[in-house]
Amino acid sequence: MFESLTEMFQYEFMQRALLAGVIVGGICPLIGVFLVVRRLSLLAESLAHVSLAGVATSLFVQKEWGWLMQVHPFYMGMAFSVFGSVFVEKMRKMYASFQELSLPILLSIGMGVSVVLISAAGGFNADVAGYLFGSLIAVKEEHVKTIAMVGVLVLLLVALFYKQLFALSFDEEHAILTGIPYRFINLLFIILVALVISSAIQIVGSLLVSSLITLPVAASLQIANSFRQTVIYAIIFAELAVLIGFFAAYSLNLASGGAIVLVSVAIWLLVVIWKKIGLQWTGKVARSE
Amino acid sequence: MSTHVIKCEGVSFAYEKERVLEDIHLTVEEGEFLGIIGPNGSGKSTLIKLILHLIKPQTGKIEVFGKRIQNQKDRSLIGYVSQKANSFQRGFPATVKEVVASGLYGKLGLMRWMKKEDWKKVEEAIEWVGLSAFADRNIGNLSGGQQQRAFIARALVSEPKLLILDEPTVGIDVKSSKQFYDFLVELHQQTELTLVLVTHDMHAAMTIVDRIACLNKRLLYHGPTDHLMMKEKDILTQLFGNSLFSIQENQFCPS
Ligand SMILES: Nc1ncnc2c1ncn2[C@@H]1O[C@H](COP(=O)(O)OP(=O)(O)OP(=O)(O)O)[C@@H](O)[C@H]1O
Ligand SMILES: [Mg+2]
Repeated sequence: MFESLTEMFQYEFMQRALLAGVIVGGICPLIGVFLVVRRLSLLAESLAHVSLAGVATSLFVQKEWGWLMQVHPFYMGMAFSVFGSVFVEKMRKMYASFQELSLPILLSIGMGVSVVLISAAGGFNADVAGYLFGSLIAVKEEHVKTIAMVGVLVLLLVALFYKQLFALSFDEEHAILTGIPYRFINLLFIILVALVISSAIQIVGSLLVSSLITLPVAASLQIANSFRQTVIYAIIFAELAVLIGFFAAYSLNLASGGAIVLVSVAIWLLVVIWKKIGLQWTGKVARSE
Repeated sequence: MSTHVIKCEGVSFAYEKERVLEDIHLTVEEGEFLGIIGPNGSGKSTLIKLILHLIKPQTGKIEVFGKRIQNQKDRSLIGYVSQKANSFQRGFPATVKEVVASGLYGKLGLMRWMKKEDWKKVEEAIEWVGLSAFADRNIGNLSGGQQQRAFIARALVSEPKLLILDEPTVGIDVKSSKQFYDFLVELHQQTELTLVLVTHDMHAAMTIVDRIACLNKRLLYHGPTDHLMMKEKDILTQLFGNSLFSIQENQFCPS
C-alpha cells in the first residue's frame, strides 16, 4: 500500500491534482456550512449545473467556431457559474416569499443547455465525462493556480466576514436590523459559492460537487455543538474524504469524484452510527445509576 | 426640551390600501416601562416596526431619543426582540455565546474582529439574564424561556437604552412566563432601561408595567394601569370581550 502511495506522488499530475483536491476539500465544506444552515443546499446543485452549461458552451464553441475564440471549459464554467449566482440573488428579491424557487429554475436552464450543447458538440466523450464525474488527469497547472487563488480568496473573505455571515444565517431579520450590510454580504457570498463550485468541478465533477459541499456538513452537524465546531469538523471530514478518495481512485483506477463522494458517505454513516452508539451508551449509564 | 424616548405624532400606516394604524399619538418617557396590549391583528407589531423605522408611516412623525431615525447609528440605542425571535431553525449549530455575540456584529462593523473586551461584554450579558451555566450549550437545547433570555441578552449586549420586546412569552408555559416577567421587573429596577413590552398576557401587563397602551388600529387608551382598571374597563371589554373578566377579575384587584 505504501509503495503505491509513494508511487502516486512521483507523478507530477497527481501532485497537482492532490494539491487542487486539498484546496477544494477545504473551501467546499467551509462554504457548505453556511449553505446548509441557510437551507440553500440546492443552490450548490443548481450552480453546478450552470457551470456545466458553461463547460458545454465552451466545448461547443471550440468545435463549431474554434477559429472565433478559445476559452477553456474550466474558465467558461466559472464565468457561467458566477453569472448564475448573480441571477439567483436578483431572483431572490423578485420572489421574496419563495426564495428557493429560483433554484430549480436555474437548475433546469443549466441542465437543458448542457445536454443540448454537449450532444451538439459531438456527444459524450472522455472530456465530457471528466467534467461530469471529475478527472485527475485533466487538472492542468494553470487550473491549479486558479483554484489556489480561489482558495485564498474564499479563506480570506470568509474569515473577514465570518461574523456577518453567521449573523445573517442565524437570524436574517435581526442581522439586518443591527445594521449588517446584508445585500453586499449576500451577493459576495453567492459569488464565492459560484467560484468554489466551478473550482471543485475539476476534482469531483459537476454531478457530484454538491455532495462534497453538503455531506461533510451533514456529518458535522451530527456531533458539533457550536458553529465553529461545525465548520472545523466539516473541513476535517471533507479533507479525509478527498485524501482517501484520491488514493482509492488512483490505486483502483476509479473516477475521482465518485470515490471521494463514496468516502464522504461512509464518513457520514460512521458518524451517525457512532453517535447512535454513544447515545445508547450514555443512556445505559444513566439508567444503571 | 425632550426626555421622550419615543414620540409618535399622528401616525397612520397602511400596508396596502387598508389602514392598520390610525392617528396614533404616543409618548414614552425615559426609564418608563410601557405595556402594549390589543387583540391579534390590532397593529402592535406594526407600531413596533414603525418605531424601529423598518417601515415608514404614511402620515405623522416618529422620533426616538429626540430625533427621527435615519440611519443605522440612530437605531443603535434600541434593543429589539422580535415576535419571531425563537422561531429560528431547530438544530441550528450555535451556542448561546455565539448567538449573544452576534448582537454586537452590526456595531463592530465589517473589518473588526471580536476583541477580549467584546467577549467580556457577551459574558456579562449572559450573566445578566442568568444563563451563565448554559453559555456553551447549543441554543436549540434550551427551554423556550431560556431561549427568550438568550435573545434578550443578544439585544442587551450592545448596551441599548431602549429595549422593545414583542410578545416574548408566546409558547412559554405559565411558570416560565412568570419567571420571565420577574426577570423583566428586575431588569427594569436595576437599570435605566426604558422598556416596551407587547403582550397578550393581561395579568402580566397589569401588574408589572408603569403605563399601558391599548391598541386596536387606534390608540384606545394610554395611561396608568390602575386608572384603566378602575375607570375604563369598557375599553378592555371592547377589545377582548367579556370572557376576560370572568376568568381574571380577581387577579386585577389587589386584595
Ligand atoms: N407584511 C404585511 N403585509 C400586509 N399586511 C400586513 C403585514 N403585516 C401585518 N399586516 C396586517 O396588518 C395588521 C396588523 O398586523 P400586526 O402584525 O401589526 O398585528 P399584531 O397586533 O402584532 O397581531 P398579533 O397579536 O397577532 O401579533 C393585520 O391585519 C395584518 O394582517
Ligand atoms: Mg404581533
